[in-house]
Amino acid sequence: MESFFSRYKNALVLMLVVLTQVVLLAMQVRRPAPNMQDGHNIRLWRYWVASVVTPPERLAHGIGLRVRGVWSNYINLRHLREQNQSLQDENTRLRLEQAGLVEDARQGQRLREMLDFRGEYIDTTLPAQVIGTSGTDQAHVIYIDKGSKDGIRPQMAVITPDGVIGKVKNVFPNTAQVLLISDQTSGAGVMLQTTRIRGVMKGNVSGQPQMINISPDERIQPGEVVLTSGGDQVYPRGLPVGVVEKVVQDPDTSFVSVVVKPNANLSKLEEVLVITGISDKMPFGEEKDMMQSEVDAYAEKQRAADILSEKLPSLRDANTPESTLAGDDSGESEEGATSGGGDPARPMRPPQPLHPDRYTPGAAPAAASLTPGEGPAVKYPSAGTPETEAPKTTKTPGSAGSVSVASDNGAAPKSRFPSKPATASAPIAGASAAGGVSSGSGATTAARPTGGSATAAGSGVPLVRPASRPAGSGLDLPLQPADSQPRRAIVPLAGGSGSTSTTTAKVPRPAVVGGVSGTASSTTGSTAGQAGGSSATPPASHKIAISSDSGGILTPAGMGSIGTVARPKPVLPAGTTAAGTASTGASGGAGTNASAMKPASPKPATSGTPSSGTPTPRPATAKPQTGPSQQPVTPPRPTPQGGY
Amino acid sequence: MPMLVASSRREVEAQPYPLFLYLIVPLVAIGLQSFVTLHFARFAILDLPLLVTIYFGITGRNPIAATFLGTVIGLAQDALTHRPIGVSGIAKAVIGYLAASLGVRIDTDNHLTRLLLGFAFTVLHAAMFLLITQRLLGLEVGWSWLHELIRGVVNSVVGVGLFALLDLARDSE
Repeated sequence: MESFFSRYKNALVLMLVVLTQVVLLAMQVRRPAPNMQDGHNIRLWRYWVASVVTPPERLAHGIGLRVRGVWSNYINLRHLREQNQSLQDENTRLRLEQAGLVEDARQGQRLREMLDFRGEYIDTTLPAQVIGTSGTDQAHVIYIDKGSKDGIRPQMAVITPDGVIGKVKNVFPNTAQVLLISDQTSGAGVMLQTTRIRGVMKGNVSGQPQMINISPDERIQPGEVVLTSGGDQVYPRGLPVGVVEKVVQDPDTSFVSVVVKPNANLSKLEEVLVITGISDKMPFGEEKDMMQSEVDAYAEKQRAADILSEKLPSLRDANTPESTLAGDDSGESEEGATSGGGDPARPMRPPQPLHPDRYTPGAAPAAASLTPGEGPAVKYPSAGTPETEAPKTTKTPGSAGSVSVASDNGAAPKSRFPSKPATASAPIAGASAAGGVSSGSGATTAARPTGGSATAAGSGVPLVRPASRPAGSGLDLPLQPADSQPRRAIVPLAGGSGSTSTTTAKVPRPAVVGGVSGTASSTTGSTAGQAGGSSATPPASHKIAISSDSGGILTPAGMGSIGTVARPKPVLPAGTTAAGTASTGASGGAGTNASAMKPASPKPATSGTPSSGTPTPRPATAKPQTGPSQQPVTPPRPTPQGGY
Repeated sequence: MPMLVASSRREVEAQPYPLFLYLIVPLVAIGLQSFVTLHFARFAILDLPLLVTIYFGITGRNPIAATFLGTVIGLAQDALTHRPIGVSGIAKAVIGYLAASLGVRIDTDNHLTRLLLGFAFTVLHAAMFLLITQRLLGLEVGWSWLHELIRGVVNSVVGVGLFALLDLARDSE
């Protein structure tokens, strides 16, 4: 027996030593939690070794820093001034950039408070120097020169200005061990910035951090930024980690792994920051820095505005009388009235016109002060002869149920809004109304019901005709056929008793148009009666004949006709509303956009026939129905006009 | 090969070293390994503690002493990592035993011998490390034959120079 042990004592000792270490390994591996601290003996052994190895490393590192400091601060001073200037410029730029982001940050804080979200701000950090590593390429750890005496605790996050690098693993009195994110046993909760895909990141066998167990259905592109998600309760949320380098298939599972290139250079670490405190309020220093950035940005903006105001000329017109300058705010100088006070950021007002007319901004009365059917009360001294009086309607003699509408009085420009006839109480003949309305949109034609109000003869309501209008001319049409030949369109009228009477109405040339109740269609000449159908489908038996005793040259809507103007009598069918009559007549002028036409002011039906009451405006695109008994009327040729 | 065999009884005996060298040299090797790797990441391919274990094994020619020395150096090297202590200890214990056993039978003062032994022991150490880490700890270890061969060559070349430097501290008789 003794010879056996003495003969094989070397091998036996080796086996004993190996077995002891295997048992030691088994005791260490058999821990309930992977992050659980080492056993007492193990920790003691680590402490002894770290206490022996790290002081010389710290000494060597300190000597190296001093030598480099002497060299860079006293000897190698080349390009120091340029470097200083570039750093100042960068600082200014970053402050302005921060000022641009501070508003978003403030809003985020307010929203967070409203939603009672708990924010995470890095409150305190501790700078530390990296003094050593593990020495092997299998374990990715570093040692820093701060320990438990400096407030370092396990599981504290360690970062650099570039990004996250790891967390504190073991802490000793004067030094600490930091586990890098490139180690296989590390783990960090991360997410992609754009797609917000979350995952766990740990190192692979090559020492590259990668997100594991990612679904292959996720669309992950190289270059995406990776941030900490905060789910591991170690790294604060939102810290930069790196960018996606590539996506590789996991050979053991169906998942994919996303290889991440860390922002920080893990192989050349010198100084790191240990996050020792996290709070839900913004730190004072950061708050102060943001306020300073806001002040600097405001001052910069003011300087830029001053420079700009000095260089840019004022926009005020020197010939503009001072009285025309609208005094908006008290205390504003006149020069600033149009130029914005020299501040390019202030809104500039348009210069005041020398000869204001009805198209001058602000010259038109407010819509609330207008009454449908009335003409504008504004007088323009420098304009033509605006139509301020409501056209009067006259009763066409001998035509029961016919309505004559006073025609336009010629050269006077038409008001945009139909003037309220003095005795207007009856619907107007479609043609006449159309004369005022058919111009549509920008049409200068006043949607005057011409002839203003006319009443169906059958109802017994007297028709009013403007005195200036020649007898027999009932229509107040903006456009008249150049050939001055009145065209007669026979439009049957339906009386209240069912009897119909037909009147002839001059068919205006036309244009445009649209629908009823204020709009005119291009075929309204023929549909005058129908147009009278206004809001409701005009009765098929209505016929309107509009006659005019004189021709004239077509003029733009609203401006009256040049020369003798044919003013066909508008004949309002029984029950026809003013809107309906207004919709006929088409004259609106060539090219008038029907869709933009204003509806004629609706007139109550004065005929005996039941009216549809106040007509509801029809869409401009609606076309009046043509009754079967109505004679087709050739639509007048549109006259090219300069405007609508 | 007569050149590899000890020529006399005297050469078979262990070469004495001052005691403090057995403490200082391994610590300096471990510290240097940790510090230089911080500034030169490529330095991690070199394993100075392993070279020291090999040197003291082949020159000491005492398997038991070399086994214990390798164990201590390995445990100290494991203590600087965050992994369980004992992986390097087991590997270096075996290497120290083999180095001492061979040192008794062959002439290890020859530089060619030291070069070949350095290469062989380095590759063997890497294989043992892989086996222990994968089978006992369940961790993945990247293995590349080319990388390990290069590691062996680098360590053997550096080892020849290191061994010559340590020979200066040998007590001369």
